[in-house]
Amino acid sequence: MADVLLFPQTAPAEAPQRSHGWMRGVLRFARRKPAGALGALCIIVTLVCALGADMQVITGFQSHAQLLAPHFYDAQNLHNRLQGPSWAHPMGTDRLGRDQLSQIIYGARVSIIIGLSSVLIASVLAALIGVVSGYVGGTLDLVTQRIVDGWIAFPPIVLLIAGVQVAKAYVGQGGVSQTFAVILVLGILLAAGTSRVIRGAAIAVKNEQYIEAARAMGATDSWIVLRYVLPNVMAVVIVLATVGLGTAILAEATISFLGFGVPPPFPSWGRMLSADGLLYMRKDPWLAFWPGFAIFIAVYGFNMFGDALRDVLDPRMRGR
Amino acid sequence: MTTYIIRRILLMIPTLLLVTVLVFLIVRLLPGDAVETIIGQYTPLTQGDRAAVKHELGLDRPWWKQYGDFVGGALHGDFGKSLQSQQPISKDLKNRLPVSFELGALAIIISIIIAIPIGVLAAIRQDSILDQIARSSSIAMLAIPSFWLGTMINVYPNTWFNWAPPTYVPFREDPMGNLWFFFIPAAVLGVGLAGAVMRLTRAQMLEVLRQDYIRTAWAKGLRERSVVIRHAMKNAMIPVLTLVALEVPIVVGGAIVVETIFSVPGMGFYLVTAANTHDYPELQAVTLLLALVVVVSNLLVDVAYAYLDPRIRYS
Amino acid sequence: MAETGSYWDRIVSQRVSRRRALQMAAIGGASAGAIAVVGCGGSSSDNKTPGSGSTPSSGGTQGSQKPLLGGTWRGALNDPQSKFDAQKFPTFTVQGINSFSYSRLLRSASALNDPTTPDIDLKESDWYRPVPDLASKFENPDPTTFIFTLQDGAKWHNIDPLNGRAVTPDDIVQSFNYYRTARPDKGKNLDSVDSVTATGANQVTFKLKESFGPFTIIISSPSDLWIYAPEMINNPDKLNSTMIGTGPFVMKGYQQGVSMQFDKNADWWEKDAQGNPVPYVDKLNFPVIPDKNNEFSQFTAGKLEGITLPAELVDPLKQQKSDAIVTQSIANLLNFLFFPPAAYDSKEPPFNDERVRQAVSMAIDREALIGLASGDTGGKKHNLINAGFLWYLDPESSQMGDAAKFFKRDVQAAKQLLSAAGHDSLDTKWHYTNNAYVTAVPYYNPLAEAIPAMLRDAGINATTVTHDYQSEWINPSGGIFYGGLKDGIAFALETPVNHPWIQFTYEFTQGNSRNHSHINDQEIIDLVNQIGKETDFDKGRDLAYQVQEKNGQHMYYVPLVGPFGFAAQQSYTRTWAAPTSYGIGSESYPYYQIDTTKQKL
Repeated sequence: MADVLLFPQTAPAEAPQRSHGWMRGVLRFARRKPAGALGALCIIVTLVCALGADMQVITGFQSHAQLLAPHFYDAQNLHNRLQGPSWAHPMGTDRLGRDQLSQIIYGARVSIIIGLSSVLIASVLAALIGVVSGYVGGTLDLVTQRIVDGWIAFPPIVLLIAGVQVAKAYVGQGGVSQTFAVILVLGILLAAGTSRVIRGAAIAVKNEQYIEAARAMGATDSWIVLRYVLPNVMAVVIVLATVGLGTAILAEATISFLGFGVPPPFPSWGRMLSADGLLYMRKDPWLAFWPGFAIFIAVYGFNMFGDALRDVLDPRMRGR
Repeated sequence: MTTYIIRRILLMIPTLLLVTVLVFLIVRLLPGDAVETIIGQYTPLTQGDRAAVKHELGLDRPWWKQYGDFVGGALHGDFGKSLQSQQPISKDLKNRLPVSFELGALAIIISIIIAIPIGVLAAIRQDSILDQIARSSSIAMLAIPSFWLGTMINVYPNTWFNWAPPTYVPFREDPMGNLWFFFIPAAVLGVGLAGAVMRLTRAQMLEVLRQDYIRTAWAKGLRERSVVIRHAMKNAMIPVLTLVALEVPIVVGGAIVVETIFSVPGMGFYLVTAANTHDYPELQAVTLLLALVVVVSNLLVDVAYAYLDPRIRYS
Repeated sequence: MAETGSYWDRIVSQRVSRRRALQMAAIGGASAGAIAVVGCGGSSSDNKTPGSGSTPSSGGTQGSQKPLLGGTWRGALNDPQSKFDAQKFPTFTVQGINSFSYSRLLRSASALNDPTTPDIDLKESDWYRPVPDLASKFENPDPTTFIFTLQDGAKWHNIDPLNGRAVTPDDIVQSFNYYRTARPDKGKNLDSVDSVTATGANQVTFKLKESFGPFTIIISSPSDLWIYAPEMINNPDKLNSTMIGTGPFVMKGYQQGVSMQFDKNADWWEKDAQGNPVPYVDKLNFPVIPDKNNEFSQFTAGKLEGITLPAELVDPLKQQKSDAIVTQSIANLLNFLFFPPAAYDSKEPPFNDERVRQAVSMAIDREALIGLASGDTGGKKHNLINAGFLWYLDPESSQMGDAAKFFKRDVQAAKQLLSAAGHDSLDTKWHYTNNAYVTAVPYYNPLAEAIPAMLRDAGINATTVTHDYQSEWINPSGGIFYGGLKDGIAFALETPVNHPWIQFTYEFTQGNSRNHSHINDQEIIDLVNQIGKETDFDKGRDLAYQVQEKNGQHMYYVPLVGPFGFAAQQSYTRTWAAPTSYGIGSESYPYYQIDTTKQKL
């Protein structure tokens, strides 16, 4: 909801320029937006952890050998419980004697999967609703927007808890399907606010003169949407997506805290924190520190980067 | 103006109806039969018992009748009895809603106190060190999981000084104690909200500071303080207040974690319990009420907008 | 919690653990842990006769010290209580709260805790010994007749609509009728009662259909017959929203989610050995504190007199507040694995073969699980009766015979059993409910996460499937707990009940919803029926031992572990222990004492 207002409801008048060399662009971005670059660094670290925890992703599930994570997330040793930080276990071990570092690294994979997939669902859904509603306008817009009103007004926590249960009932039980249920509900939840912003952008684009010109030249509506509206709205979608990633990761942590998130044995930062961490905060504080810090880094990274991206992609912010 | 307000109020009706339909549907889509999950957990029921309990709770009537009763009752402020406790729901809400409002109001006040000065300063000194720090820290505040922060506040001062968070006292019994009790959870929530408010304040200030009339003000040789506060802030704050208003429902219904950690007897936990126990009437009541809060705060914002910016009324 | 506790109780509460509730520490925390560790067999069995008739003696043994009088006891209520009718809603939390303001005819014996020892200090021979509550005595002229004499001058609390009127035998008759009509199970535990009649100005007589050994224990159990006034019974809303009874504390106020307060009932009949009226404390105040870290903070800041402690917080407490009295006791909560009903109904492999079930049991490292669940403080291995109960048979004792070996981890032997059953390895599922006990029974989820790796060592690859408690676990139609397990192994918690006859009836009789796997073993069913008829305590216990041995042999249920649980109280307080239960309010709290000069208010 907050983001509705973060983005003034006018969109860039021209498609984003892509004339710079790739490296130069990155360097320029880092120089102009050091905070954004820091955010990007956080994202890169999270992504590297997610991809490289073991060889599975890299080798297309041919090899399961460990790579960045020293141990498999599920490898327990009950005789090695609650060990403090050491060379063997730089972040200590949890109450089942699992290596905390490995769990944090694998946790990045879970967070990224959930974040990316739910944001993808949200973006597609929001773009579809927002562009159609905004571009077509009239009664369709009025009706659609009342539905979006109800959608936004619906308390998110009810949707999260009840929605995950309903989704589970239809998607199926078990770790993977439950994770999918979480993704689906988070996606639906994030889409509502996003669709509003996109609609605003679509309306703004629609009223631009070059669209009128295109129409005058006989372009069809679907052509206009594909050729002009979507590319112009894309900047907003991308920026919202980066911020939404952070929101999704935080939301997953929160529902895991309430016991509805990603089920064990998959390592979720939110569950590591709520299930083990908080009770041990007095005795073994590292168990609470690292998952909390990991959530913080990921959410911070995506928000910071999204913020900087907004400045760069918003033409009115250029050259300042 | 009146026409505009009436039109907006009329538009609220379909939204609220949609919410009632949604919640009515979603609770009935939940796996497991309400009667069984609520009454049957003590001992599984026979078919006859089940039918009797269903009848007693009115769950054997056709769905459209149940829906009608729900909406009809809600119009009179009667939400029926909780399936779980068999107590009137309005009684619970009467106790819990004010608590959540107080928590929410304090949280928002705290977020404003933190966010607006920093946001304004960051905008005036754009891309300075101060700006970078302010923006980083505002996002940092947004990124800290509230249950992490809340538990740390609960644990560390206690470990160091044997300090314990205050426990709830009603305002009329001990106003200062009451405010002190709410201060800590409100601060935890407020810090989270402050990030978004600060970002928007900064963005709006940047926007406004580029406007012609600000240049005019500078040109007139007004002092910075005067330009910023009297001319720029006044206009930049409208969207910020919108955002703040939109945060009300988030804080009122979504503070579950903070409520649990600090023993705040508010709506959040009530809501989670209702969702968990599939308590249809409770869930329907709370959802509708929270949706009403959202819709009304949206309305107030829109009306305020229309009042300040006449163009909106006619679009 | 699975069967009696409602989800409401659990999650909102954050949650009174059933374990803690059972340990009578649920409300307000109290040291008063529960049941001391039981040694097996052995000690003089003569005085272990909780079931035997005769006139019960006074409640508990008296400490030698002069009691400390007055003050307000403060403890955390983890559960925002919303129900008070313990017949309509027979959950342990409702029953626990009832015990403050209501009475039973009899209750269980209790005793002063010695603050210098961590274990609780109720003599083994006193566990479940029925002692007077609302009935000052009972006579048992023949095996099917029990005549209860009510306390002289027993009065209802002085609150409208009862206004302190005297208790009449008819109140008992009406309460029994209510027990039979309002309980969801229609009072099945007391099915053997034929009639209840007022047989004198102060007397009520229970006639049984046949001799029934567990009778007095069930009468004294907080899970069954509570005495409500007809005025309340006829006003269900009132009965379910407040408590006006005959018990030691008068309910003063309750705001959901905030706090509950009691005053002592100055008219209560009980006096201690020196003639001091009890309760000793003037008031009880229970603020609702759902979060364990917060409860800990309140205690160390001196704002609570007693709390229950998860194992993880014991060391921090000892460091931070070295003078606090910490008591420990076996967590009084049954946990076990069970198998799909199809294994017995239609002999569906692999779990129809008892060698596979035995292999599962042998794959489990119970010592490691105890360490995990108790924070390395220890505990005992459960049998089908959990450690800490009078009828518990140590699974590694000689009386278990051959079955004893299944309770020790032996991966090789487990593999051999598996291959003998025709499996080199076994792919199956591992079911549990991950969102029910997070705070209530903090060791449940860790155990559930730890066991699959142990099974894997023995070649049993069990894929974890977690379940929502409300819709998938205790949902009576198709919930896993109620016979809905389709495949794999399920890990469950269950409240132990006061008498093995009740528990075994649940677990082994055909058609009982809590016969989780539809087990049908005529030998065991015969033994259970004998337990019900047996009025001699020792003989009944021997029968209960036999059931445990048979279960161990066939591994119908795979019992797991009973880790230590902890409670803490301030150094300036004294608490009392009782063997179970949800009866904490009348068995223990009346004897709680506070040195008010040292209390920080």
